[in-house]
Amino acid sequence: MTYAIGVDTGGTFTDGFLAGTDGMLVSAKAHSTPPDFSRGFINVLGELANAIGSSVEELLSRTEYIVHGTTSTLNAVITGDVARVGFLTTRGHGDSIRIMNLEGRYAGLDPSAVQNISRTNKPAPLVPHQDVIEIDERIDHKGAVIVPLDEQGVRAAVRKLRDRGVRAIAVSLLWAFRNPVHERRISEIVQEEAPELYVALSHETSPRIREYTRSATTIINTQIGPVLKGYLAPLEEELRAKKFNGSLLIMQGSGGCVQAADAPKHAVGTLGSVLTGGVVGCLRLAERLGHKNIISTDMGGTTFLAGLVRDGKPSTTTTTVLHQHQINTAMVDVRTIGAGGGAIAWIDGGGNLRVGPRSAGARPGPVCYGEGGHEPTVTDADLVLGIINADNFLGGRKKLSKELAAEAIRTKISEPLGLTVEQGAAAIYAIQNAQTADLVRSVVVNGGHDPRDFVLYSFGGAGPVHAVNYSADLGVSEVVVPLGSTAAVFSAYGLASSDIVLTAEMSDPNNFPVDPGTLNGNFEKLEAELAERLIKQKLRLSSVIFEREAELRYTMQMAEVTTPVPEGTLGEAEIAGIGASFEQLYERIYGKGAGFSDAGLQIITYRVRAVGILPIRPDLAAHERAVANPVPSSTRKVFLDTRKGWQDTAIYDYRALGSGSKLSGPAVIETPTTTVALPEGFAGVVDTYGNLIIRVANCA
Amino acid sequence: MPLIQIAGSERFAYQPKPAEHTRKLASGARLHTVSDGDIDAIDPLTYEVIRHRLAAIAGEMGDGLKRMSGSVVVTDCNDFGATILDECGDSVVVGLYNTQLAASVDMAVKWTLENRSRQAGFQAGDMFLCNDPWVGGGLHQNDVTLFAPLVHEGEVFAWTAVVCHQVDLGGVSPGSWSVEGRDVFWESTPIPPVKIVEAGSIRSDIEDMYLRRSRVPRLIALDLRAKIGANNIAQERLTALIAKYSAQTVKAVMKRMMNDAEARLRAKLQSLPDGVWSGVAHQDSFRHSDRNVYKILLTMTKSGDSLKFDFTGTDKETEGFANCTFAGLRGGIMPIVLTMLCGDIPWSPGGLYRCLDIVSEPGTINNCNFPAGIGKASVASAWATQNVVSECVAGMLDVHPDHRKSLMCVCCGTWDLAVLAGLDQRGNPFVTMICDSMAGGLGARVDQDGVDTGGLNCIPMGRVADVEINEFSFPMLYLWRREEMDSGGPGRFRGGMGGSSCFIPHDSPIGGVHLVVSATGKALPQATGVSGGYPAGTQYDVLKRNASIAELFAAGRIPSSLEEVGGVADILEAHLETHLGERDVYYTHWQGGGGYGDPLLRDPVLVARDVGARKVSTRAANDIYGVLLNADGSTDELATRRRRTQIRCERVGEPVPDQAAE
Amino acid sequence: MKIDDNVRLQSDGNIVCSHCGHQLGTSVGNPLANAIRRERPSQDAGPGVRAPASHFTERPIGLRQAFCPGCYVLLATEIAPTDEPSYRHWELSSAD
Repeated sequence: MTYAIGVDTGGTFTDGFLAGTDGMLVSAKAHSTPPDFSRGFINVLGELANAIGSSVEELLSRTEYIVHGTTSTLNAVITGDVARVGFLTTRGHGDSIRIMNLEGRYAGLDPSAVQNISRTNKPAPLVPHQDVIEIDERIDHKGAVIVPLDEQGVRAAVRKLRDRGVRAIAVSLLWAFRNPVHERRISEIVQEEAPELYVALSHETSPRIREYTRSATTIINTQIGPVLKGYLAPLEEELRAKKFNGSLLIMQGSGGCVQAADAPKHAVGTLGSVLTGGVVGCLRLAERLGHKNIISTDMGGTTFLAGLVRDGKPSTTTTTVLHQHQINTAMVDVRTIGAGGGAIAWIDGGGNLRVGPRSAGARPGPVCYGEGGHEPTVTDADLVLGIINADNFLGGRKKLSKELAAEAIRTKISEPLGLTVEQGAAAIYAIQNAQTADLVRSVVVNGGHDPRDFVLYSFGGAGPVHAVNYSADLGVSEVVVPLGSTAAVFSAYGLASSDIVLTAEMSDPNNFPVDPGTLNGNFEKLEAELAERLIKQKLRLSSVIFEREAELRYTMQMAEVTTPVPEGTLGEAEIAGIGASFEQLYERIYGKGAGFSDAGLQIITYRVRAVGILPIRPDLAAHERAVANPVPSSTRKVFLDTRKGWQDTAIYDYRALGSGSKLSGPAVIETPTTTVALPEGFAGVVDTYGNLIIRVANCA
Repeated sequence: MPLIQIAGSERFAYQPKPAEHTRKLASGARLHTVSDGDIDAIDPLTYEVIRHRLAAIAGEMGDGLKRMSGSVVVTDCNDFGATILDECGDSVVVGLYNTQLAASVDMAVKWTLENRSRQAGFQAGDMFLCNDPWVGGGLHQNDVTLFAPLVHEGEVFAWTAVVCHQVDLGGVSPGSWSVEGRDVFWESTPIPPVKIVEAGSIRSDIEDMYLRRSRVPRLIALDLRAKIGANNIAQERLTALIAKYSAQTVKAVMKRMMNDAEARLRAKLQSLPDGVWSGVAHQDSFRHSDRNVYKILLTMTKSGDSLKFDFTGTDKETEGFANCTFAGLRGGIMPIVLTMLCGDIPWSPGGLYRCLDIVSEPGTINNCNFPAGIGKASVASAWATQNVVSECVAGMLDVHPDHRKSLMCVCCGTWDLAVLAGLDQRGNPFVTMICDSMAGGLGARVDQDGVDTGGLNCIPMGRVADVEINEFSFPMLYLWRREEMDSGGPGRFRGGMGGSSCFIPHDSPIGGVHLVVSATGKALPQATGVSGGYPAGTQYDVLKRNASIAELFAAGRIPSSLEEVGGVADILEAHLETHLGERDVYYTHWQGGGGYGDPLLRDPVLVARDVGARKVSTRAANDIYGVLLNADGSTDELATRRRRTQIRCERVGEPVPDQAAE
Repeated sequence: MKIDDNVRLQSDGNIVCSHCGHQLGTSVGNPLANAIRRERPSQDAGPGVRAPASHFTERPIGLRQAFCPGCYVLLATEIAPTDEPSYRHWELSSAD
């Protein structure tokens, strides 16, 4: 028997999940150990080993692969603890990373921050001016060399940067993705002049049109690559010392993993590493439950994340904003749309009640944590309304003070507004729900979808407290609260059940339809590159799938749409079919008649994703017993609906439920990881795997 | 030739009226209303839930327009507006887009209420189109507004409106920037509100009439549909909101949002001392070959909780295309009110306008009569109005210990227009506005520098396209795009730098391209400083004829300066239509932001840092900041102290004391 | 009361330089009455002022500045047609 293990490093806990080829499933938790997160990693392996009654060495010797979700690169960027990098670019364009297309002043900011324009700022440039050197050379939009590379200038620049103490050089020249000849030559010259310096070339790191984002991506990749390597190399060494012969795989933001040795070269790919485990878990669960279209929502203590799955595939994005910098990286599109349970309720300058976007964060957290917070939060309101249980919050791991919460709401909210404490709390709860409906809706609608076609999955400690209420407002048909054996370590479960995903892309902008030779050549080149990388993964894969896509746009319009492309050698008819798919997709996302087809089409970027299916696919454990009509563990007054007020509400202990258990609102289900609020008029049932399924359509 | 007012045009020259007047004048329509009691009865929970949703709907409208539009200025530069208005045409919520455009939509709706209530009337599914800046909606004819009554149970409940810049609606020059124009008849003919969508269907007769004037009718038709789509989104969402909460409740929230914004702006004004702040905004040239300088005067009086803007003394309207209507004047006020006074106050212009009084004489350059030319209004007299309002509001805020942090000195003095037209590298005809100058410098603040290439303060979320996208789309090749040294106004805190682009025609089958240039601020800077701070640099556009680019490229060099480019320099006047030939180079340098405070008080370390980062030249460091640097780039403290003493004395003509003893 | 970076209004109604305390004016109606005013060519404002104004207009354009008579700190700056008066003023209604 062999094992697959998922290890998910979060800010507070490191979660582990183990699946055996015989169907064994084990989960474990350990505290995270910043700044050296590898301690927590090793500790959770110890917990898993304990759980199956073996030693860590014994466990590891039988482990085929470990999939790891890591925050190391994201932390490095956030703390600025990155390698010093020099930047070489085309003469006349060194300021591109300062100008940031102007949008760097507001990218990624909350609307309330954008509105306060006179206090907005750009972040410091990725590379200080002194370490940016412009080189005489020029390639045009067709890839023609207009000005040859000034090799002497490059030599002088490299020496200068080396003498200044940079550890690596990022090179991003205009149109290098079209014709990389100058970037390649620069790489050779760096080898000659300063072989100790690491060089990253934009046409390799991010061969996409738009120089600002390509340069930013290349620079950040160069800055964090050494950080990731510095984290993974000793970790892998330690695992080897503990008899691990399998593969250490790193989860990427794209939704699949890659060999640890291959990860630093594509380090930007790991920036979304920790976001992705949950999405993969969600996908596996949706496959099980037969759901094709889902909205995955994860409402924790400090953030509210939302992502979409449509036709069984997660919605992805090809760019993301990091610290106001725009970067290219294929990522599962998980958006932060709110502040989670820590969202602060406050009275604005006009005497109006507001909730968020500011958060009490992990420290001091909600007032009820008793850790020094004094601004009331959504969690405090949930507690005052009786929805969450002060003595049984997160399975009793955290004691809460209802008195502190009530006092904060009384002084900060209720008294200024002339309300009772309960009215104030009820207003916070209802405003949070309505806002969440607005924000989730904008994610769904902007993707070109209708919320009514979706099922909403609700995760996170604070999520199910609110999910049914806002889902009714949103108009989705059903809410699923994943509560089975994997609930406590859902992301780690997702990691253990993920696949290898490698992505290769290149821009080659042309009018469409493009010459078949060009298109086939581009895809073949990308596939050959991926095939080579797949071999280097040295893994036993049960199968490999290549997925092709291209980004097209209408000539006059800026929005490019990622369009699927069939496999094989394509002829003119199939290429015309790509155009037709693009037009259909464009209409779906941007509305009927929105495409300006008179202007013609252009094809901009080609992309191939290689998915290597890993051999171990943990299945979900079925619920141990059936309980048709469960008995509430208690009854208490709970305020779930502003129209109904306080109601006698049945409280269920999740552990006493079984498959088939039917529940009807008003009810509250307390589980070790979360609390589910079921207002009057809604009904739920526990499925075979222990998930709670709540029907919401037509109930509002 | 003097401009002669045209009899019969008066009824389009609109001055917006308060709600109670509008209600009386719109006698042909039934307008939904609520009482003060209804407004007071709204509980905090319902208020916040509906308020948030109305803001979300304005956002959805804007997102929808952006997705569906074919215009780069909309999709990439956020140069558009989305507004929800109440039944009387007062703006309840405006999106975070072009705040100039959001400023005058109310006028168009109010005019329509007064003039179209019987005929053509307001039925469900109707939408009106307007690009008449005398009526309102936009600031020049390129701003086309589409607005729709929301009819609920036979009553006009509210209005939804979107407006955006259309790339060409006719007139003498491509892009409708008629630089040689003398009056409005050289420009796109304004269209007063017409019902272009009736009961949900486009009226093809009206649409044809609209499209017939454009050089790019298909693109204009696409954008019309985008605007219809955006209005439809808002109408559907508002209808659902009414169904859930009742018309009375939703309306009461809308009214209270305006009341709330008004009360909060009044409270802020009340906290500031009463006083008068006067200023001036200059513009050099109103049309091609015009060499005069024009002024807009403002006397701003803050008294109690209201603010009066008195433009008496402003120059008379004049020949050219740079006047603006009353809508443009308001479009110059509201962006500053929103961005400097309402950073923390909801953007409900319907309430905010109640705190403002405007005094202006019709027939002046920022309140012109028909048929004065206004093709450039939005970035000419409306923008200049914004500059002088900015200067006066900054002076007022500076007095307050907290509110002063919200002030910015005047941002990017004007828009640096460059329209290119011709055949692109694929042989297709094209017209485009190069939007690089969207990256203007923001004005300095009282505690930090202005943001370099930070944008325009009337568009909170502007954007410029990558060089590669422009080179891919249009037959051009950039020699550089950069932040321009010394363009930020010197001061204790420096204004943000503007930038420059320098490009050549490249790869067009017909060699060169057609070029329309239009930008003032060349004879004198337009982005002024505050508290002694210097203005930003001047606008500077240079066309180099018969340059040596081919030779330089062949020699393996990319020129970094106009001197290196070679050829004959033509320092361009403000407004010009010309051809950019195969051997020609165009250099366009737009403005930065004004500075704050005396530059001699600037921390020398910051000056050294700026010199190191090419933001300030050693010459300016020496002449303006009085900072001298060591060979390693650090400040020479002794020499700096002496230099500053010397400058101080020279300023007032006093003898420089002997400092050798130090 | 602090008016801006350089100027303070005292409770006695005097307007003084915040850097050296020199009296700049005695009435809120003309707060900088005692300031030293100087006029120079506009290009003296630094290299940011690019082409000479005469290239674009026949109007005289100049740099006008006001300084504190005590410490010569710069109180006001404008570049404007010098055949016009300066239109940039402020006055507070009272000293409180």
